[in-house]
Amino acid sequence: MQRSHQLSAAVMLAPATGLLATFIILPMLLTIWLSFHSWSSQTGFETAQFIGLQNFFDLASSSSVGRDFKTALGNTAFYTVLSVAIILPLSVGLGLLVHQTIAPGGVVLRTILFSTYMVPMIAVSLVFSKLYSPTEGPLNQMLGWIGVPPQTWLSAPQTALVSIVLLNVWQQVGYFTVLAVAGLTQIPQSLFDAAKVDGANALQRFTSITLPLLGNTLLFSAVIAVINAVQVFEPVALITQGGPVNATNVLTYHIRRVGIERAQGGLGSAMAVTLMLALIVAITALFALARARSPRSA
Amino acid sequence: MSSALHPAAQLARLPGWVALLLWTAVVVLPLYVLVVSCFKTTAEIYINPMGLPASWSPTNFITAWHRANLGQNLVNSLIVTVGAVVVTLLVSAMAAYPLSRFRLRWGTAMLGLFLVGIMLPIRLASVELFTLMADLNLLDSLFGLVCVYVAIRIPFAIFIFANFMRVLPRELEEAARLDGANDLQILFGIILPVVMPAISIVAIFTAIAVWNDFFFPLIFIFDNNLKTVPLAITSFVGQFRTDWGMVFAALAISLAPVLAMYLVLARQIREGAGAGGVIT
Repeated sequence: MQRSHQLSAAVMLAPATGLLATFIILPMLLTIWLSFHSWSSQTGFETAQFIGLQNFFDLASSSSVGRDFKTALGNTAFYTVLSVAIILPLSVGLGLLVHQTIAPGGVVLRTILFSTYMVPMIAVSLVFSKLYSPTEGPLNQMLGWIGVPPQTWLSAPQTALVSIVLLNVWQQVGYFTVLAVAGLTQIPQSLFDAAKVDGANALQRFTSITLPLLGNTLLFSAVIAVINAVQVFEPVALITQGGPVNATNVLTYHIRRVGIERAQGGLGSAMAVTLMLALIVAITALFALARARSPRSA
Repeated sequence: MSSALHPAAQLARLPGWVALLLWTAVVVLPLYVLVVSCFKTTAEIYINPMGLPASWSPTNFITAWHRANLGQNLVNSLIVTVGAVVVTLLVSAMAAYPLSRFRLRWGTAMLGLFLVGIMLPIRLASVELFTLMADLNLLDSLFGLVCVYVAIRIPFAIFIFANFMRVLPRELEEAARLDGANDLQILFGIILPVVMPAISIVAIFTAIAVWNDFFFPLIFIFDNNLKTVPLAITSFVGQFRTDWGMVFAALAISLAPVLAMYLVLARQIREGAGAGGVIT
């Protein structure tokens, strides 16, 4: 009985495991393996030549290869940190507001707020490329109404990457607001009532009850937001092509340029591996932070 | 409920409502621009991006349909989406069942392994995935796309299914087991019918992600007759003179089914997203 149970479990797990192993885990392992090789991506994996850490030395060097990589890594890091730093507080804030609105209007608001999740990234990118038009673009027009001078948005290196962060925030905040609302509904109202009786003000109730008990939700949201952000590709590929002057050349885009257009597959793999290592450090830090703050884990 | 509140309490909520309405305006503006641009000429989009169109003629939609071969692209997107949803549901339910309800020594470790899969940034390995797909003869193949999408969605789907299956009472399958039903019969006959919410969450979120995706068709599909809608639309951008009215009309066509589904199932979709985020 127990043995047949094990057997049928293995059979039932096989398709999912096989698909995940073939199309996700295998390419990731190949990336790690190829990062130690010189490999032209126009040929098969068997042509790869082992070169040790040479790719990583090239990336760290001050050559143009190294400079472009560091710019791209920096852009991805900036994009990720800024996206998460805006999305998380904004989604918790909106979540609190939505959570408190029991009025009929609340349902309509929730429906509108989450609707951006349905809009494909290519549509978001193309619409925003029009909103950002430099001279008479809608956003600059509206800024003019309140006396703010026109901004350069995508057309200047100083503002281009921030503009891409903003369109990402627009698309993603609805999803994370829904996560925040789901987390908030799990907090028992009695805790707030007790704190009120004890004389805690709204800010104290937020920092001592809401925030700690939202810990798991925030951790999950932060991890997902980071994973999404480091894979940014559509707006860069569609509207900026990495420009102006490499200001929006993020790593997913740069890896494809190096790996496909210049066929330097090994070098591209080394870039991906470096980013993965950075990602592991960042996510481990997030988990450590959550564990240190969590009231429930002992 | 709020009408029962004291006027002062009502007033205290005013800033919150103002903030919410402001964000709603932020959300609505790009959607509004998308909709009105569908009815404008390219010149009109540049000169008058915010205003209403000069006429509400469906010219752009007709052009998009004919010139962009959008009908074929819609069929391709539909095949890939339905295929990915069905296969994801099948293989994930089959994997989640033993992981959440059998007493397996390696069950927890295996479930953990799948959860780590949620965090794997597969786009970083796109060059390797491309070469692998070439080796497997899966380039320019809708089947190949389905395989990749299913693999990407499996961790999330198993996570949702396992969460729903874990809390079912043990008696549920015991009677059937005594009657000699095997595990697959129990899964499909008894377990799945009572986790319908999990099925709809997985189906809806897989469908949205696959229908809207641009990245993987861009990598794997080169044959015009096999392009999905997002890839087909982007091939009309950045040409010598982009017909923006047509591009926006095509985007609206691709958005319509997702938005229609959303308006019908808004509550379930929001609660489903929430269920994915609450780790118990």
